[in-house]
Amino acid sequence: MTGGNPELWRRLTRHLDRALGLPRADRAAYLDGLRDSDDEAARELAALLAAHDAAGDERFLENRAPHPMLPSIEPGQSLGAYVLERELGRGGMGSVWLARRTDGRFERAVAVKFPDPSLIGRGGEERFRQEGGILARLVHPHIAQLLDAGVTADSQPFLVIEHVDGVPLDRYCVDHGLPVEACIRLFLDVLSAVTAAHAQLVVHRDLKPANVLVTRNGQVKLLDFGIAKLLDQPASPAASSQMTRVGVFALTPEYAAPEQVSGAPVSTATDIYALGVMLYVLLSGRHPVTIPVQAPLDLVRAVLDTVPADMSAAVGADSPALKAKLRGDLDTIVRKAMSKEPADRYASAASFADDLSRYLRHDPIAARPDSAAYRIRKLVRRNRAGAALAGLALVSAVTGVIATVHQAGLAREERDYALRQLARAEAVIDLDQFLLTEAAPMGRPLEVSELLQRAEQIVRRQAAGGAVSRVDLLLSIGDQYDILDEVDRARDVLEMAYAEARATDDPSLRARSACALAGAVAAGGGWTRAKELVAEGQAFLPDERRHVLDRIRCLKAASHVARVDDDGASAISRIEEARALLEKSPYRSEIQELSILMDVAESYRVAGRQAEALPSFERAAALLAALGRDQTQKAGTLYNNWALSLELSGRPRDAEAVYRRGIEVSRSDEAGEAVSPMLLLNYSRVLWRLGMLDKAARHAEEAYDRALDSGFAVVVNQSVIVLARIYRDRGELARSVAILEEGDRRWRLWLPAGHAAFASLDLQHGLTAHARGDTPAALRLIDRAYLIAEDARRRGSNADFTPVVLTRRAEVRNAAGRSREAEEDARLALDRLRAVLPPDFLSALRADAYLALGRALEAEGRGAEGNTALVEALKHFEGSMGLDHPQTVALRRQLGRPG
Amino acid sequence: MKSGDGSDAHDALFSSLYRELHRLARRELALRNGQAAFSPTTLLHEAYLDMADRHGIDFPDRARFMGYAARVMRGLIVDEARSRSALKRGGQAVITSLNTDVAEQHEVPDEELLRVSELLDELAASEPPLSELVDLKFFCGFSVAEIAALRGVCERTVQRDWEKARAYLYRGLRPGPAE
Repeated sequence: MTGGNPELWRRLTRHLDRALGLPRADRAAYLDGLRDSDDEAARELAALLAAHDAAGDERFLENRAPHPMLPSIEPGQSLGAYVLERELGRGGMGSVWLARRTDGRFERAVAVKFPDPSLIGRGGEERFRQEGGILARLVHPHIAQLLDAGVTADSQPFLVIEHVDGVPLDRYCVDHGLPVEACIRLFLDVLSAVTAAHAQLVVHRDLKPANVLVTRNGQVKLLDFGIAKLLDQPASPAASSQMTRVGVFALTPEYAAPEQVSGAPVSTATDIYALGVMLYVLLSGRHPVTIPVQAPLDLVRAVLDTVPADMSAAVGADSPALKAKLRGDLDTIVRKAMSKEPADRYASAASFADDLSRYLRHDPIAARPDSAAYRIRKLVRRNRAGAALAGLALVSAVTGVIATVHQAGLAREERDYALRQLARAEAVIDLDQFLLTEAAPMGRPLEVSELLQRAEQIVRRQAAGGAVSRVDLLLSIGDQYDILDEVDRARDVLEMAYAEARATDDPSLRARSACALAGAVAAGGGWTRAKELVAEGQAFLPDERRHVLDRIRCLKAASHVARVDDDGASAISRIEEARALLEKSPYRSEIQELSILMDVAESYRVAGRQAEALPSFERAAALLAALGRDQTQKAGTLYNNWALSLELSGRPRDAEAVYRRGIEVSRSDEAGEAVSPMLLLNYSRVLWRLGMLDKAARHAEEAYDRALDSGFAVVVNQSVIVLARIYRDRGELARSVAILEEGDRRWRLWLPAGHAAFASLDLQHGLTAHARGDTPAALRLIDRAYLIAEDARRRGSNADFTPVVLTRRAEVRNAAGRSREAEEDARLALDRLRAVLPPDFLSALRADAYLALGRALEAEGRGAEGNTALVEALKHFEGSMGLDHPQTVALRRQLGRPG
Repeated sequence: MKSGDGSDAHDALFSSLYRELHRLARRELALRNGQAAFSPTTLLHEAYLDMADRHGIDFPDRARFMGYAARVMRGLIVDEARSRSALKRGGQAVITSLNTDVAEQHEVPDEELLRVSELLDELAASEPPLSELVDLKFFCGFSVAEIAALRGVCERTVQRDWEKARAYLYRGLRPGPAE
């Protein structure tokens, strides 16, 4: 071999050069030729050529070597309030040390991880700190708490984590000889931890028994939550070529979900899969997937295609008792969690836990093995019936309410009233589930009359009997249609309910039916009537505690009407009133809170107070996830609106992530409905903002096409603006002008002259003129845009467009050398922004304005002030666009900052 | 740690370079508080300027300097790999699940890195530019284009040499069934 044989290599090196320069077909001939003169060399050359090819295939050494960790870590070193005691272990990611607090206040031992600095990457330290901060907020009794994440003075990142002394879960179950139920109960703790983390939008990505420790007292602790993402580790191999390397994987293959293996996006569903595998291992003692290490390509096949044997089958003949126990429901549960398609798995850890709890209580589980009922369910879902799940949501509402009614210690009469309401609600719930899951014949949606007939039959058979009225049933059916987005049917049914309610004496029924109908009518544009109905509804409610729920419902309807009417102020006051009522009432539940939150967020958004809408959106999304509703159309809508608010407050980076989630959710909808053109357009706009022009163009063009197809005029018109900007930024000025002119034609047909929207069109025209070098024309157009926007603002329009126009005008004025005027514009823009954004809110809008201000001041010779403004601008760019955005980087360089 | 050449002058230079790089690395990391991570190529460029400045060392050309420095870098990386490897085998008393497997995280396992370094030392005995190329490309992360510019040759040549060196190493690491 050439290794250790320099003389042989010297003989060979030129031959190797030549052989590599030949086409492959000719190599054999060359080797033959060499064999005659130097047999040893020929053999070695052949081996080297083979090695060359193999090395190329495997991309051997194509990545860089691991970074040397130069700052050394010693025992006795201090790190903030901790002192390092000893090294616990070292891995590829870095080393782990045991440490204790020095201040004697609290003797808890911690583990400190020192990841390799190269894993953090350029400019990543700030992100590491920030994301570490987010992970540290993940507090749960079953999650090993991340206490601190930071970077030392030597730029060495570190993570301080609660030290857990325990054994992995699978070993614990075996060592203690735990029966199936006990093991499941421990597993439920794991699920509760995962639920909490998912609610905070943290995905683990590497769930396996080794990451779940059980302490001596039987307490479960999950480790390394979100650490994979924090360190920017790829959750899946960077390229499938990596899979061909023998024995080297970037993830734990036995627990890898199909999407991790194929490089598709990772989500909470990925964790669910891993949890399914974990449960499989825990209960059966066997692995569902056997990975042949010798042939890693088979890993791909195994994970993506091969359906593992059921747990009960895998257990085999030697434990017939266990086999019997696992067969049936437990098999079904695990199979569902391990579905190849993420959308087929449990929608959330919470629903996974629900089914396990049901199993433990010997109740029927929700997951169904393939059967007629299951197929019907699937069909119903394909008909856009999220209704079965709506039933589930109502169930949670009911149990929530029961709990609080008992706790609140109400007077007897009130309690009875509440229980009657509940009885009604419960009866209706069971009904819904029945109606929509089992009764629906294949493919044909039921007529209302049929539904009603069936409903009445069922009610007569049930004990709750007289407590449920037809009106209640109709209201409930109307709700179902509303959830199904069958707006017309909903309205028809609710009209019936309203008419029948008028014939009764029950104020609660009359109020509810009036308000419910108001909502449906408003959605159809009948605002006047809607307002009347709301007023009527509210009039029927005496101001007593026990009608609180109805009152809340009416306030929500009133808010909805106000929103549709574009009356932001009223919308907010109504919904805040509803929120206050809910908080004080004993009827709080997560569902109620969720629906109010979504209304609150929408009201602020419509009122133009974007930044105030954000906390509500965030909480609503978290609740949706916790309730397992985050893969639905409603969630898609929420994400769209949330992202829009983020965008309008000048947080494009955050907005991009949320839009993307909305698109994922929409695409994953079983009905196969295409993603809304509105959502696509919104997404494209934020992509443009972030400079991802080609991707933005693709999405905007798709939005435009789809909107044209479906006659969605609003989107067609809006996409004009977005495309104009994108083309301009790509330098395709002619195309930009062309689309603006088309937009102009359309808009004039659709909008009255002087409408605020034309400001946007004029602005784009102006900016295109500026790009062409025609400054006078540019300023003329932008002046006109400003007048329109200012006029709209004075007339009390909800969205103030003037800061954007002013900032752009400032930019153009700067370029034209008119710094004084530019300064004025920039200052006014910042003033206006102060009125709508909270003081410390980091926003791209502010960034642009400060940047323009800074440039103007510098041009006027006021360097020091200018510098202050630029520093402010940088702060806002970093917070809203990200540290790596070209604008951020350029500004940082200009200011002479490192990086 | 050996230098490529046996002479005393070179050894002295080499160890001072090693210390120098350490010092520079610390300084760079301290400077970049909250910003970029440590980048060997930047480091090497800085080291070159610094050395020329402070010691008045006369390198025939930058390319040779870089070659040396890259060799030093390899030394640092391999030292690390060696101690990681020893720790794993030596068995720390309590390694909780906080320990993650090396093989999961990096392309090249530590044991392989050590072997690669040995093979490179051998290769350096017969064809030093090839060994140096691996130091520059794999251990320091220089691109083919950068190396070509440094050496004043065309990229194709560098690519070819890289493939040769890689074949040599692969052969050394994965002996075929004949062996």
